[in-house]
Amino acid sequence: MNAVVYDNEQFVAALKQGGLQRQSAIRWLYEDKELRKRVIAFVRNNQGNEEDGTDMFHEGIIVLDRNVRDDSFRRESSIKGYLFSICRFLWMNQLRKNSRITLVEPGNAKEEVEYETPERHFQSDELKMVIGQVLDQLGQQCRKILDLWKLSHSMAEIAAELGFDNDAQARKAKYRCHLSLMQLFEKNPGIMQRLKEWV
Amino acid sequence: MNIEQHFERIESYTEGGLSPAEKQSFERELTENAELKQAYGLYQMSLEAIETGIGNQLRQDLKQWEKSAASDAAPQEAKVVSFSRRLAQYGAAAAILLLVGFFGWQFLQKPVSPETLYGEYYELPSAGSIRGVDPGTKGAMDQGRQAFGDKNYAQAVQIFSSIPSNDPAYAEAQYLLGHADCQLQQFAAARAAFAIAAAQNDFRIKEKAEWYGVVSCLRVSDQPSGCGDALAAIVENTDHAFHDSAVALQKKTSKVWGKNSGR
Repeated sequence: MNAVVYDNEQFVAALKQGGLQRQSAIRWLYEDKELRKRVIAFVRNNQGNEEDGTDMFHEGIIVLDRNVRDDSFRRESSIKGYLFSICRFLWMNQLRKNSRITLVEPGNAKEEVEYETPERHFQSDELKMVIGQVLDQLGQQCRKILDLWKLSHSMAEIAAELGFDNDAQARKAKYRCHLSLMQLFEKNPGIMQRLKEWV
Repeated sequence: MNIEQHFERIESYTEGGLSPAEKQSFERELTENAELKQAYGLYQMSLEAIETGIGNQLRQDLKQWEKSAASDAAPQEAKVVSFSRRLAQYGAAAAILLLVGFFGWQFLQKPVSPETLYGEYYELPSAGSIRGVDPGTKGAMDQGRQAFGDKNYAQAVQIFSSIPSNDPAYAEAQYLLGHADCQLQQFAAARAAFAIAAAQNDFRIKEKAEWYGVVSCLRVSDQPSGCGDALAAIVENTDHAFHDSAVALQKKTSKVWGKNSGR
């Protein structure tokens, strides 16, 4: 379906550019049947089933998207090798949680696996719950503005996408939304307690 | 805490917009000023939340792609099963094949009806997904979702139709209105609602609404013009979430909407 082939640099650039470029690059990765099969085979060989494997493949893409955008991917292997190592890590984590770890490596896995540690973006269940609640309270328009901003869209692009008259209006809206989001967290006693302990 | 007071500096620092001297001064203040440190913590938390939202949206997209791929693969799997059975029961199958061949040939002479295709491609949004698109919206939207979830489609139509176009949830309201109309067999109204939903350019809704606009077209009396064009537009867009399903549907609708789906 997707005729474009990306090397590491092109892939990173597309993800950082956001919009259709990001979507297209992610779709390219998603449509790699061999890679998907490898992830599923790894999970199936390690006490999981096909559905678990598909879930890991999806979750791996989500983690990779973020790691690439914030420069955690150090380009020490191919992007596909990196995705495999993330999926592998995610499944190992899952097994550890369920205390049933006896890992079986696929024959050639080590050739392409990048042993960078992709664990940095995992949140505790408690934090996930608070974040979910706070996002629910933020309006859809605000969520969209902040998503677009975080995905590197310019203020002019945000203005065009969301129907603001100009980029100054979009910037003002982004500021208000971002502030509202922080204030919602401020109202959460659990979060504030955690921040006080940190301070 | 006065977050506003610190916001701009924190953002500049996070985005690398401070000079080396300003950066140093900010970092020093961060160790001394508890309020600034808390505001900085809240800013980091907000970035985490935005990333969570981006991840949730991507997860939704991946599931949608998975669904499209599965709906395309289903007929192929059916063929494999029937072939393996023929091999296993070769003798009996020879006779059956003759009969199947005869009736199959008769069947193939007729185009697949739009009703059949609609049944194949239409999918009602799950209760989970209708509550997940914009759970922050209160009031009428919640009531509409509730009515929709309870399969009270007439009431859902009434409520979703009342959501004004300046409401942030307007795109979702029109999208669910389209589905409610489909359930009430009001396909022309459904098609119109999906078109409005798609036109709002809400990236969570747009491609789904475009696709179901085409699917609902299958059941509109007299097959209105534009259905084939709408389908062709999805086929041409290889990044569209429903691209694969659209390609499959286009092949099947060639007898209804013409080979190039050009109506």
